[in-house]
Amino acid sequence: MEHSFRYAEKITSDNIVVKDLPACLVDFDTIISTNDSNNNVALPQFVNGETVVDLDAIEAHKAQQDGRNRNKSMDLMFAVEGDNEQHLVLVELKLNYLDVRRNLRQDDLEEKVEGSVLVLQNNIAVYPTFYFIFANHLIEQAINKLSRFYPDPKVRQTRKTATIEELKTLFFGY
Amino acid sequence: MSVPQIRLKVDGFRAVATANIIIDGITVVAGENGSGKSTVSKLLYYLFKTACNYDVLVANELRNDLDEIFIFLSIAVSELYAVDDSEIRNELREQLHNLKNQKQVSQEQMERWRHFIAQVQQTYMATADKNDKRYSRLKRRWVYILKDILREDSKETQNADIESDSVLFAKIEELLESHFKTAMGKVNARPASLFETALSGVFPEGILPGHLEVQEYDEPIYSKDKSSLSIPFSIQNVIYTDTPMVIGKDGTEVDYWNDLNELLRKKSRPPFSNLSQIISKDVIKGDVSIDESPSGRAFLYKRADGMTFDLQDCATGIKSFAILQLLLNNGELNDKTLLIIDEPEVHLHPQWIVEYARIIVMLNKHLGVKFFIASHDPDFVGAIRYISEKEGNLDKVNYYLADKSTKDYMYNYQHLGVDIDPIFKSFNRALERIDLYGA
Repeated sequence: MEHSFRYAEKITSDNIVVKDLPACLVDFDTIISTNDSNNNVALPQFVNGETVVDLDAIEAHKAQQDGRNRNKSMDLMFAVEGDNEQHLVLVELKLNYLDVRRNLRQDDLEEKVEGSVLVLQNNIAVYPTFYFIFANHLIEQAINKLSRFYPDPKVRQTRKTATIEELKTLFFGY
Repeated sequence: MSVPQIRLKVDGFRAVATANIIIDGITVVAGENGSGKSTVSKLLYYLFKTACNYDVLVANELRNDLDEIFIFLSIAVSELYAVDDSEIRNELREQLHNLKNQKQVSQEQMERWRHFIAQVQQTYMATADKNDKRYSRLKRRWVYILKDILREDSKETQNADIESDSVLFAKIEELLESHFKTAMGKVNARPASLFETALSGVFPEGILPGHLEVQEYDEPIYSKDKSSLSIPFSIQNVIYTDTPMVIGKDGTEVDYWNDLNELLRKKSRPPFSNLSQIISKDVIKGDVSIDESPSGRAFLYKRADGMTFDLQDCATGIKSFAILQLLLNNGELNDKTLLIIDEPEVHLHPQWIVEYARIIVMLNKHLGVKFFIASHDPDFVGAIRYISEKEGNLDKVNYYLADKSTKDYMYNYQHLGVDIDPIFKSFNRALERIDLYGA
């Protein structure tokens, strides 16, 4: 999981979608709390006031503007930079799952990826790996389940499961 | 916290560094190949087989010990009675066979044997009295046979005057009495050595566990400090299956295979449970039964469309369910049964792995059958966990993971409760290999 990309707060908050809908910029902990109705993740997690973009809000706003039905979308995105590059990392939170066997479907995940990429076209390049975040006590079952969806290891590199702690280590320097 | 029905503790035996395993419903162990799962299965099987069938095993031992006396008496009967005494000879032969086939360890049975020996002795003495020419021929040979039975190299045998007529039969009676008294003593005292002897025949190197204890409700039924083997209550029959291929294969070298086949051949007892019908309708789309024709030995699979097949010719996955269905139908699965299954997922399509897990959960929930299962399969492990939760018997489920010990080639069995994520972590190492070799 070694790489040089790190969370870029200014690039996140200056993104064109935020200019279009300032309310979409939220604290990371707030969006975790909204998605974790079973309190599987102890808060606070992001103690430096990190903010992210609520992608569901962006999609809802865009759909209204375009006069169309809402597409599915991932939960959030944030900008990262490194190696003279900038990317948008897309994240789907699955923190309130009690088990991974029910409700986790490959077509649902793919529709969210597709909807998110679509709403962020004409933007900074999307990071090539999409992250699905599960609570710690279910992470290994989630890895196993997603491996069934993506048996090709090359594809699996682009769709990863992780815990909040792993995401923090990966991009936020915790 | 309730006291578990059964607990097995073993340390430092083969690949098992430490294990403290509860069986209170469904116990599932996962771990790498060679981590000692089958060792634990065998310890459980032989412990409960011995403890639950002690008298029968002693009776079998006695029967083996009486073999040479039986052969001696058979020779005596066939040689003492002339051709024109064939009616008496046949009657005595039948009596002798009945004696041999009766598996009783009792004073009464011993007296029956003594009475038979006395009958033969009477005829022998009459032969000597009549100065029958056969007498000297018989006596010479019988003395040699008797010395062999008594192990002629013992000093006692060399010094004994076996040549004397009265001593000849007295020695046979003495030997008979000695075997019976040993057996009766064992039935009364239940020495643990019977289990230890069984184990030493199972593990090739003949080394026994340095520390092994099996408890029922926290009290030892077997331990190295205890000379006798207690009678268990919560388990009164034990079944072990490590491959469905064994169904119908009689007379193998593996005694738990032979034991399983003997159980499978027991007559079925209708009405059949709902679970048997679930296996028929939802899974194998047919029924399994025993060929009840006089010459029949086969197991039959009758498919839903009416076609009937020899089960030996059917898919191995069907055999997996056939074992469960036959045991259900003949009443061998109940709340005093411990069913030990190694790798139930082998030979099963993923969908049937989940169906098999479901049947196990239902057998525990509705009939109280206890299970000890070793598995390598994520679907099986997950299915037991989540189906048990839905059925409301998750409190009866215990998972263990065999984790590498600091000692090479040895494993500590970690109790996980119902948290299966660590087991999935070990399964997911396979994905890392695919990524390594295939990405």
